[in-house]
Amino acid sequence: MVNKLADNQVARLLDLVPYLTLNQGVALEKIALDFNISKSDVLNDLNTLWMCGLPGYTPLELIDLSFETGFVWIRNAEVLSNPRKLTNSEVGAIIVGLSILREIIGPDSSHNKLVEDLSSRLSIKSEIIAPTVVKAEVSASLREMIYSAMKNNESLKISYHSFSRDEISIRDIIPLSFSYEANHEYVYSFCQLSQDFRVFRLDRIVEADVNQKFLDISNRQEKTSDSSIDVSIRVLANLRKIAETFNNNDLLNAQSGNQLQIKAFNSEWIVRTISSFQGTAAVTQPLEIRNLIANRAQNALNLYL
Amino acid sequence: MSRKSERLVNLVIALLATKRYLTKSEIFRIIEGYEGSNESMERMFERDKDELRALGISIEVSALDPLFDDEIGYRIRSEEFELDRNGFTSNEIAYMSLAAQVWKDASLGEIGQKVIRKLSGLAKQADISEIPTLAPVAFNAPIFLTEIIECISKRKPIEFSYIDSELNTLVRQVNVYSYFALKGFWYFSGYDESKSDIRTFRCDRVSGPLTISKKANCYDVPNDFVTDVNFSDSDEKISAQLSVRKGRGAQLRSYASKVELGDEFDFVELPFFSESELISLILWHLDDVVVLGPASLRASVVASLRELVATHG
Repeated sequence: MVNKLADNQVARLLDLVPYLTLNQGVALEKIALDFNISKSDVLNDLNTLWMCGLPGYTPLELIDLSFETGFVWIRNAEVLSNPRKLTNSEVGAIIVGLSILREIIGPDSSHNKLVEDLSSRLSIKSEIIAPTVVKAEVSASLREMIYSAMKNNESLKISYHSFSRDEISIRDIIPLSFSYEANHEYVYSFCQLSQDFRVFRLDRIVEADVNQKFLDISNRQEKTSDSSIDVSIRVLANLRKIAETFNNNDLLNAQSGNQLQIKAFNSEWIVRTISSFQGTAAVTQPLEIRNLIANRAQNALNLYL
Repeated sequence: MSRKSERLVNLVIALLATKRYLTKSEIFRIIEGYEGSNESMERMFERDKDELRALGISIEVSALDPLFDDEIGYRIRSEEFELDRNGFTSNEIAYMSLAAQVWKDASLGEIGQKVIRKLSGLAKQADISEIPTLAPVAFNAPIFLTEIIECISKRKPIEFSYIDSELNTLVRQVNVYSYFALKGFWYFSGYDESKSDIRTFRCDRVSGPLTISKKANCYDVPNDFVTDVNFSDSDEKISAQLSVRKGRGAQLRSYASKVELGDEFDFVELPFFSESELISLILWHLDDVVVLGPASLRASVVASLRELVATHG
């Protein structure tokens, strides 16, 4: 551990010199922030650098630092004043990052072509290939619109596709915060229609527009209602898909034929989810849900007769 | 204060500043921090060289005298050590910083932080603060992403445990050709030795660490290789014909290539790549959708519905 710290310090010191050279008079606090270290680490680094220089190590050869005032000046450090080359994994992180950036800014931005050119130049030079495609679940423009509505306390008019009810509804919402769970993006909002706080999945927002209407939620209290249903399921095959759907890690040790306890948000959702498993899972409890599935499946079958 | 960091920085400075190769004895004599017996200084120097190399610093080694090759010299070439500061415009430096910032709080965050540090010493960057860096696609990038990238560029095969559709964990040996992110997940594709075929793997289904071959250049990426980002069952793209109840099936309709309005049901035609995915989606809609064709799809859906009735009866 002690060794590892020292390694990091050397790398940091080598990056610190060019940074200080370019930013003469920078405050100690700013260095701590930019290098993501504590102020005492910064002082420790500067005290170490103070002892470094060209062979001979007289004041003529040593790096000249002044930082007593809380602001740092550096002189006599020409040999190290250029930043170090990027390592392969750093170039890799940049190349993937540039692909992500292009996905954020969209194809119409004036930056897109420049970023693409830079990425392919880096890629050719380093022989590190860029990802074939980086496509998020949600368009950057939708995320951007929600984000700016949040900043400006605006409300949005959205068309929302409720997947479990298979309905599209128009709602006025005040977006409050983003969250990210199990690979989906959500926006926690106040929903005018239900007069309550609701979570919407971004990829199910079919359309969105900034609303002129002002919604007052200052007096709203969050309702806490747990309407979830406990369901027992017998799993026959296709275990990975079922485990991923219910986000259930217990299944990792499960075997075919096993019983599984899950919580369902509503009966419509569990009926449809079990149906979509193509007969590889069956509800055993509660009976009400079990009958619902049998009836709905029979209704569907009747359409083929 | 660390004496060792001090010595290593002094070593870098000396090897960078020198115009000629420095011998070991010169290094021991002139660089501060080398103390003790000759043997212990030798050991110290070997460790220092390893540590600098681990930081990505290449130390050039050369025989000093063509007649006596036992006398060896060392130096660091500045063009090997330094970032080419003239290689990038101020705009490009800003893009690279943003690309690194995308990783904040994500798997490559630590590497991104190092990039930002280095670039912060390069030049005053252009102001492109209007570009947001909110990128959920970065959040679920696997921690081993840079290793995958390294394997592709060095053509090193990898071995890993992979969770299959029945949650069995099998060891797979793969020559990776490409990687991509799609709808919230990261994938990599390549030639799977155990299946003797091209396969695509979802990163979050890899269980445990990757084992990377020490040997490089073990394979070639075929010139005609194209990453299949549609997860096709077959090369052919086929269409399904469905009856969808009015006002229902919003998602099916969003994929449709053709919709003809009817009375109670509308006719919807949609192209698909994966039959299994489509069957699941159709079953999700229960009695709001009837499959008209192709016959095999219709038969599969009917069979699944019968199964459902049987298991829940």
